[in-house]
Amino acid sequence: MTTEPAYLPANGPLNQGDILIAPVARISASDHFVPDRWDRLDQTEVTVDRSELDEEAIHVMSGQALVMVTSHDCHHDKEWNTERNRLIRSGVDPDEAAAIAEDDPTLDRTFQASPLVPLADFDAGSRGNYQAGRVVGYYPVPAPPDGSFPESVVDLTYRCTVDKKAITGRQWCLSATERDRLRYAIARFDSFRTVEIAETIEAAIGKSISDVRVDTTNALTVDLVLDDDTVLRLVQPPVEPEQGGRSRL
Amino acid sequence: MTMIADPPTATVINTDDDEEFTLLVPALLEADAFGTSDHIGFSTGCRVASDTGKTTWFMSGRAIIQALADEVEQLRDRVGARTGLTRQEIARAIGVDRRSLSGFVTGEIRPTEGRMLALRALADNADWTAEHFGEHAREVLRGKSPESSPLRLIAEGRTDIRRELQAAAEQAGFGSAGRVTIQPRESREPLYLKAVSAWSTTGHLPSRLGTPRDDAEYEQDLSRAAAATPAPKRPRRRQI
Repeated sequence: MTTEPAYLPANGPLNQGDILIAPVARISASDHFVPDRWDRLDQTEVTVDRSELDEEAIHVMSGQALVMVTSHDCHHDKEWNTERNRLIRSGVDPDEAAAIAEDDPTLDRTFQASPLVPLADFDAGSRGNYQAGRVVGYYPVPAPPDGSFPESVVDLTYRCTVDKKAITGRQWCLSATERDRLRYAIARFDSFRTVEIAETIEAAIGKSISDVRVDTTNALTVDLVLDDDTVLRLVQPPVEPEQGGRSRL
Repeated sequence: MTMIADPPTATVINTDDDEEFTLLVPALLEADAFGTSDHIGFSTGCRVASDTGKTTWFMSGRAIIQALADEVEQLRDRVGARTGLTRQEIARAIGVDRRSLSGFVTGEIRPTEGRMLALRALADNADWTAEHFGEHAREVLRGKSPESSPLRLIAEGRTDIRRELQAAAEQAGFGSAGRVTIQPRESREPLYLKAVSAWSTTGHLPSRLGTPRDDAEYEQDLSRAAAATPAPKRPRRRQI
């Protein structure tokens, strides 16, 4: 039996699941409070004095960190595609349009990322829950083959917008299977949170579907009404972006 | 109120057995009993932190004068060292002349409560100015002219003049010095350091290549979802 590695060497454009060296920052209060798990991230306290504008000062904690790209691949070339498609519609050859868009330094500058926190920085009693991915808001990652960082969790509760030009290092990207797990962890943290899917489906065994409802304002979910009037809500899984445009909504 | 860094102390003597207690003076400094008499009594703001049930005591006014003199000297020197203001400028900022300021320091003249408040306010504002404008602190405190000098405001009884100092710095062209302060903090070893040495950064940084996608990838009309998946007209029975 072959086990797919958790990491693959990162190449080409930015991908969801890439692990990078990049700066991070977060807004703090004037006391510059630092939660223990962010101690390695908060390397400098920055205060922006805005008294001359008659505004409150802004306090920022910042540092250089290992981060994982969390924004979806589609986000990373959105403006590039918009510009390329605009040029093609105006009569420019597709290859030339792609080259022109690529030369524009203002397009797709930013992405979202969350920092890695070593598992060892968490309380020993709760470490197992983080390691097993049971804690909402944290995505566990193993140590990479080169040992460049220890077993860690991606702290999705610390999310940062970073300029691509601020990246100073990249080596590893999550494998396809691990990337699916990352997407579920993001969806679970941002929207769904429930971990009771298995129990919900088990409760439907032996029942029949009496109705199907589709919410016109939300294409992600389908409700199956069962014969005892209970509702089973199905959610589309996160998907890989499709090259050449969408084939479904 | 301005806090005194090293509170002055006075000695309380038990006249029965000559036992000595040390008493903090600041409570007295706030009292209304300021004056020029040689001896003053305790005010209602004063509390002795020892068993005084069997103690009879008195306090010499000289101890207070000496404590004030020490504080004046400490504040004067601090302002001078941090900002470069001359003793003449410091004296003027608290509304006296240089000779009077020297008298405060030697103990020959007892400063009034108003002068002490002005001196403490000057020291506070001088610290802030030095912290934000560094070597330009003196110029900022002096202002462009005697009429617009922030120091004059302290002589007039103001205690917090940071906004005026900021404005004076702007006028003098030093405004940007105070906008951002960066303070390194002691943290555990950042995680990225090992990766920096382990990774070759060349060849792995993201390229600018894009993946061609249709506009529909980014502009999704969710109202079409219902039309794309019409609800069945009658319930379907399916065993699951």
